[in-house]
Amino acid sequence: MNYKTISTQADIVLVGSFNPAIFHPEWFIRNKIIAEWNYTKDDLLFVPDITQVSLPSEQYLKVLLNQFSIKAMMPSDFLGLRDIVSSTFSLLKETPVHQIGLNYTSVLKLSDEDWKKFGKKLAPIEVWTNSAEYFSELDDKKKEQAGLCKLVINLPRNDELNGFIRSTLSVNSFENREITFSINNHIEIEKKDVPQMLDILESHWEESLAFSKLYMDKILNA
Amino acid sequence: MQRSTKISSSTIRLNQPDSNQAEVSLFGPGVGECIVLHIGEGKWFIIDSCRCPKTKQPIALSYLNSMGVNVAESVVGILLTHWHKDHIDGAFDLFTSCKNASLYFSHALNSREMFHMCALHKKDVFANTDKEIREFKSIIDSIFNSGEKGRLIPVSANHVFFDYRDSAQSTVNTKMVALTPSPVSTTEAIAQLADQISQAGPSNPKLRKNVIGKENINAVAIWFGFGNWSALLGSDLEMSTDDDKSWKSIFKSQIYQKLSLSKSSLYKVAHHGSSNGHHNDIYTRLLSNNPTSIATAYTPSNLPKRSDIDRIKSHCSELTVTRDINSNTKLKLDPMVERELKAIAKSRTVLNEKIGHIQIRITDQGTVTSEASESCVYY
Amino acid sequence: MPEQAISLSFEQVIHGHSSLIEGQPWGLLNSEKQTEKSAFPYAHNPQTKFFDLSLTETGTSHAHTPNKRFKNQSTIPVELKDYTEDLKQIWDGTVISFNEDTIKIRLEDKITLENPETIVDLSIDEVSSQDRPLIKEGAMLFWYIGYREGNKHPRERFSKICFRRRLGWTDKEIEDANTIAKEYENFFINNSSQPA
Repeated sequence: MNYKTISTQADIVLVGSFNPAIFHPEWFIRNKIIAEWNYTKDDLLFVPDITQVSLPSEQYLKVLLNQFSIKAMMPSDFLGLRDIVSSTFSLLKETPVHQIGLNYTSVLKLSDEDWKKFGKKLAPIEVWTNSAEYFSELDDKKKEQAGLCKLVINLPRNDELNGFIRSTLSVNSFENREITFSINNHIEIEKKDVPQMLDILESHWEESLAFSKLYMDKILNA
Repeated sequence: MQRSTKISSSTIRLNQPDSNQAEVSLFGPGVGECIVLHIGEGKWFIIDSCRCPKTKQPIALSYLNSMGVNVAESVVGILLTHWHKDHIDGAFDLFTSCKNASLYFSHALNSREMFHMCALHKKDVFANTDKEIREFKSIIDSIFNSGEKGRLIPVSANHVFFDYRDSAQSTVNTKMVALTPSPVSTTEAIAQLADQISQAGPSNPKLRKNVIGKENINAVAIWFGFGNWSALLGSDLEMSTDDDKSWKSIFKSQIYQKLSLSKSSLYKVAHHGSSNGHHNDIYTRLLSNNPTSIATAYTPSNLPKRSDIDRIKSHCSELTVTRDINSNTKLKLDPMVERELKAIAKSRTVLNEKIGHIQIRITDQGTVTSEASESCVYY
Repeated sequence: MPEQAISLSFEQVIHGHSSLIEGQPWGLLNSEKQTEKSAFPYAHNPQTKFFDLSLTETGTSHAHTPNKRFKNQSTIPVELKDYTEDLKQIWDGTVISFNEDTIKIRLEDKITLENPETIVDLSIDEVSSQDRPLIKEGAMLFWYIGYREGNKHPRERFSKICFRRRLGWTDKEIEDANTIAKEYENFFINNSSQPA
């Protein structure tokens, strides 16, 4: 299939119990988790119960009372995300962490020819259009508007961890023929503690990225 | 400059040696060293460990399995001469596979400081900061959990740690004597470990580096005797200015005279032929006239250098090295990456793409035959 | 659709919980089956899903995105670069030695796993000034080589070396390790017959 990758991002999302007030840029710099950088007030939202930081090299952090998430927009920073999360929580070992998401998202632009073909391959449109009795009476231009908008597929995991792998494909822009393809690699942390989370993160991050990339490629070229 | 001959095709014998034959097989992939000894009667002894670049298996296991040797029964001992990663890679797999083997190791490592170092370095799949110590840690954890303390035997200088006198079938006696580490070396090695532990702390980031000090002062050099023939296996033992350490401690102790050890006609050159591992007295006091020498290369430091080869050859009848230090395999890279690497890197050396094997067999009459695999170089 | 399921769906829409039923198979909306243990335990929208920068974020096309975009006052600006990276090579590196102008690194190929390890000498200029204090024997890094390209960004090669920051041991970790070391010492050296 003919497509162009507009952007790719990877993120790590933790669900648990957090104190957003901890995650000020100074805390990361003082603990040598991230190199010192000149942040401005525009890079920081630091209010009760929410912290959002624009980190160096186009990485973003958001911490709520029940969620810690960090993302990188450039593939050359994906491996480094794991280092940041690992170092952060090796200092915050008592944090209750219940779930982890190892996520990968691409925004892709398809060719005009592949736009319809790909949607029809994933979800045969006739099931839907034939069931709407009025559809056959519409003019061709209106009929063109029928098609796939969003698809979510759940896959079980192939390891001993509880969780799933959930792919979501949705239209980003009809005019520009863009889709967003996301893979949520969700894992339950049975012990609800940081050591198990770090164990899972450290041993699964690279594998998750590699799987997501390959899986996406195979779906697109199926 | 010495002329060299690259071995063009392997002449390694694939059958097991006869029961009255000894064998010294030296393996070296460029970073790493392993010696597999046949001590007669189908019994084997392994010194150090490295992995086959292709299969990633400990090379000793690959070799012995290829000859149909039952490693669980026939390997009677494993000696780990020191704890640098290039000499210990795969040691835990060896230890668990060779269930009948005792494990011999430098006395310096039988210390609380070493156990503390092991306990600090938990398995780190994420950054491999424990890679240097992972093998030893896995072995002691395994012994601690199984309670089989008797399998672990520390060795130090002047210790006849292996004395295999067979039954009525053969008259060939096999003996191994540890020539080092001396008590002073052992104490210094333990002090270095303690110093490294004292530096651990929140402000010192975890790194991937050798846990043991630079001098290889606690490496175990051994004398291996098979009947009237003997070999000097120098490990990575380097020179020291102190008479009570390293090679000088061997000369000072006069152990050869005390234990009536014969001068050896085969020398596994210490420390990859480096000048740090050399002393003229090794050749005059521990080796017979014009001994045969074998050595493993150490590619990161381009060892042995040309000057090292010339020096060694001036003392020996022949020298075979497991790898040509000048060979440089091309990597499989994207053409753009190859161009970038060429533009950015000042120099480049490829490690461990092939493993060299030197195989020496000795009959009970003292007849020696020598074979080598393709990547070896004969000087 | 069962009547109960319709009312459940409607209520949940009113209370803004429509996402709760997203992805649920129809059978689970039946009240009897709701009391059974769900065969599909992760039917709800998982909170480990994608990082959501603004509280009302939606995906947008980069083709129409200005350099800084403010969704509302309660979020930080997102500076979206107009290019993406096509990585051609990733190495995992370890510093072997260094001096004032050269750094020797041992590289393990993470893309072509059958490539043997390589040692390279690089100019220290290849390392960013932020990372230079991290250069020590045993320091770890990733080295990326690839292309960058975007809508308004011409295709260009890039080479990026990132040193990894690993924290040291905490005092508690050192003390815990010492306790284990004492147990081992008792077992291996002090002739205690059993592990503690």
